[in-house]
Amino acid sequence: MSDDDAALAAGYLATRDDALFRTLVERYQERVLRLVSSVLGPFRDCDAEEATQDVFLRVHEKLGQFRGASRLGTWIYRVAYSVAVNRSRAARLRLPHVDVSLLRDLAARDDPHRDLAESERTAIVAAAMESLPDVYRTAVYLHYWHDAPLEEIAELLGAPVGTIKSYLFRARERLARSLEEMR
Amino acid sequence: MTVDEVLQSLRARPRPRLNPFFAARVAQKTQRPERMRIPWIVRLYWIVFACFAAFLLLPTAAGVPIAIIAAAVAVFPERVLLLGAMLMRE
Repeated sequence: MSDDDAALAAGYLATRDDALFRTLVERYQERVLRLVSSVLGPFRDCDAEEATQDVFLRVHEKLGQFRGASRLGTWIYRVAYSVAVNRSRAARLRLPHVDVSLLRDLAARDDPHRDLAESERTAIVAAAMESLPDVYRTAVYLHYWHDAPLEEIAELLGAPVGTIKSYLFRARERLARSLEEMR
Repeated sequence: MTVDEVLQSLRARPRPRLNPFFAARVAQKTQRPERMRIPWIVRLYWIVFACFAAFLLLPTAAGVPIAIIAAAVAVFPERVLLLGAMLMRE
């Protein structure tokens, strides 16, 4: 796949044939979406699809600078992580700790007491997740929200599987500490 | 709330999905409009025209600006024409 990707990128740069770039996007779009949405998280009003589109537009802009020192996929995931972290920081400044989907649904629900308990629960989860460093939080979302296997997380974050296991272990420890402090 | 409950609750959150036409839309966005290409013969015509205009009109008051405009169009046709269109619109 690596050689094939490199050939695809080289072919696109030589011919500027849209079909080749579309093939490249189709090949990576699902994984990039998983990575980007895991950096942004499920509690923010960030459009993961729009962020994924930004990633591919950046990839298109910088494709000529890809020297083949790493696999094309690794390079794309690095671009994706950087775009998503920048977006996440901007969103954090804009709307700190607000679960927008919950606010949207609030008016349409029947049982206000159950809704309140549910919203408190969501707020606790969101706050606990926010207390984690970016890379731990991304690994946790990839594993527990997207059900991604460790090998895929390792590829997306550019780290060995052992390191990902240690991220998840430390994230659990930090989450436990945060939950303890919230009590 | 325990750590396991927090992690389990993440599984219930809806996952984002891409539009089926996502790749086509991205590929379309990467397309840039073709730059207008001016054939060299047209550029040469404008340069000769600018020199001729300058030679004929230089003694008059309008001669210098006309010669400058003609020379600018000859060297940077796209930019000058675009600037002209913007000024006309304003």
